[in-house]
Amino acid sequence: MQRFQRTFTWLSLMGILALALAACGASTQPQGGAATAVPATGGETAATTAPAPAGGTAITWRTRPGDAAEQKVYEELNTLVNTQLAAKGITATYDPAPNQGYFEKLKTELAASNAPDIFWIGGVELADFVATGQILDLQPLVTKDSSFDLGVFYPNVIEQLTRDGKLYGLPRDISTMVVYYNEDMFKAAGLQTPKELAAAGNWNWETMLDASKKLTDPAKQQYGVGFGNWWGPGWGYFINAAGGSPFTADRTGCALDTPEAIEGATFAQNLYTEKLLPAGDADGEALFNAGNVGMYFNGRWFAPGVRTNATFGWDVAPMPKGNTESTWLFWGPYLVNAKTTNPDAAWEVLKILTSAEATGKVAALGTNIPPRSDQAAVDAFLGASPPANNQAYLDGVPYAALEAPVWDGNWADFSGAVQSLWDQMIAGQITPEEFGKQACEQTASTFTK
Amino acid sequence: MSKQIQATAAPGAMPRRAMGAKALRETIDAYSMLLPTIIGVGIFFAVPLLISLYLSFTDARLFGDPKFVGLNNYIRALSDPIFWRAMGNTFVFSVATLVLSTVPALILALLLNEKLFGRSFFRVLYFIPVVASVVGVSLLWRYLLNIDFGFVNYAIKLMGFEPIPWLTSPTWGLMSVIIVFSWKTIGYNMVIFLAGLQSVPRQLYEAASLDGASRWRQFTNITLPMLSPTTFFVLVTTLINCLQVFDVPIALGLTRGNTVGPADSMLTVVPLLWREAFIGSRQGYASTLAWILFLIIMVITVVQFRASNRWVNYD
Repeated sequence: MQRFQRTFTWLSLMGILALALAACGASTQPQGGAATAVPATGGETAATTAPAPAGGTAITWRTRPGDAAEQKVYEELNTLVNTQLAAKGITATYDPAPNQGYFEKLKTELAASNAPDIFWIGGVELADFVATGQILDLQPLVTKDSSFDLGVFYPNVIEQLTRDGKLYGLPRDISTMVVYYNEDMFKAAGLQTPKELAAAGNWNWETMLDASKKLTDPAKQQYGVGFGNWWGPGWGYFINAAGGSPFTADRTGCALDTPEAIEGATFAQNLYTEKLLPAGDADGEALFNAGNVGMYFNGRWFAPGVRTNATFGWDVAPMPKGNTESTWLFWGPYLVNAKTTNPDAAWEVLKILTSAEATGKVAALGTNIPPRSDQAAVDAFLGASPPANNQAYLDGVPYAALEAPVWDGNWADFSGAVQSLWDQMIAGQITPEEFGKQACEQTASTFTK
Repeated sequence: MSKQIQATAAPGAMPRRAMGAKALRETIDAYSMLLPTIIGVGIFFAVPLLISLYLSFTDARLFGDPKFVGLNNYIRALSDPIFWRAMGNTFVFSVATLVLSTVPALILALLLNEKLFGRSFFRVLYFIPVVASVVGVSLLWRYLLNIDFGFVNYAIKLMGFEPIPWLTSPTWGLMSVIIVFSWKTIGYNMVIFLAGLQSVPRQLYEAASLDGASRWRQFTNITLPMLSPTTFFVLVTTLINCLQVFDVPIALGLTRGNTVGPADSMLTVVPLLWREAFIGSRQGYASTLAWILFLIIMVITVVQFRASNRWVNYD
């Protein structure tokens, strides 16, 4: 019995040590291989794996789908890639990641050298990834590939992806910000719609404020206008449209204390003070879909939700003009991991993911606009309705302010500090002047030049 | 006499060497059984703990080699207004939650310790929030507290008051976290109090009744003193949980602007260190914040233990 106990003890000990050593050992799986797909965190984010051909090259790529329908489209793109690249022996695996914690997961994987070969990020995040040497320069691949035409992409977006002669990615999509409006509510109030006002050249802050006041009815819990409380439709838009900017012209400092910026902040604060909009960050979206908000400022990604939920007539119009015409051009690139072992294969996959066919498929879903101005991509987008007035998104492209990386500063620190002060201002705790002054004081240390 | 001693001692003295070998074997056996825990704690707790202590003295970021910066991170934290705002929020949150999650829990435990109809049902009912997912219940609370369509404000309006901007005003943000966290913690504390109450001997109450003691007198002179070890446990664990709160402020308040609640009104220390580590990519500084919090928790717990000698009755 004692002997058995001893044997059992030693066997257990060996087993534990073996397990511990196995757990400590690094994975010997080659980077970017099909089997490196990150374990899924739920059914929605399960990786779409494809068996790697013997002797073939495997590439993993990632986006952040908002829902199952969007994920399905990307899975179709993965099939498209695999079909087109089968002859070259390249296999792609789509490895979606959930919205919550997307960047934490990605950064941790990059630090651990097991991130996907290709991944999507928001345009404003680019500087952080490039500065830490995580991104492959695509310029040599573009130069040697005579079949590839960089000129089909919107040049202002490509400009943002280019730094010191290096190209750090290709755009996956763009989206301008527009006004979604409840056509039935405007008609019932006997008001001209934003689209009609825009056509008449009379769509500006004054007419927007006037419509907001006329549509707001506390008794019916009805608001004239609404927008999320974040930098896009919040402080970014109002300051830009007033003729100011969050940054100095060379983007190496804060410009939130200029008279134009303060004018924009004052206009926005007034909307809150007069209770013309729902105060919560995302509450307005639900209320617009429920028919309780007349106008809502948002990007293209809002359209599928409105299509599904709205039981009223709706359309879109350009953003109202302040002192100047302004909207945002949001965009997000696909980047190639600097540590990929197969840059050429990754390039082949990337070309297909950003092709007119692929970006057209994504645009048909309704969440975004192709990053290309070639006719096939534009037609695919314009045909994706409702809304009827898809042209409004494209009309904003020439004058839109680009969501752009802050190369000489820290965007997360800057935007966090500004947002905190903006929250205080819209709650009436500080004045727009104090907002501008304190924002520039508090963000001075976030710039490196 | 000496013979007797010799005779008694003899059986033990003779196989001393053999016993030593047995004891050694037993020790090896014991440690081999403990080994999984020792390895687990070592790899997943002690080693990361030491690494984080080292990182707290460096400028470590997610990428690149860390450089030793001495006490710079600690000095920076102590002179950072955001850190002090997070500390202030954590303090207010902890004190308020401590009261709101222990007093009602004790009252509920006292009620559900009585022979009431359906008490098992209510015990389960009050415990459900403890096991419910934080993200799920936070989403639910976001709806309940919504200023436009939330039930809480609907009730407030029915009573003739102005609706409260629970989630959209910097003034009310922290209060929302206190409410949700307390609601989630009450059930757990209630169960601990119930266990404590059931260990109070019935005879004490019977004797007190015979002596003519009122229910209130019985509560203050029997229940509370007999329950003091349980109360102490509840206070210590709840306070530690409060100081380390992370999930509720993040689920309830994280915005697209990376603030935790309007104007960072829900920002406590752990969400701040998470933001520094994963949004700011400043692992070194985040580790410093973790160690400062650790020291604060340690000091408070030591003080609680010292103070417990005066009011906790283990007899």
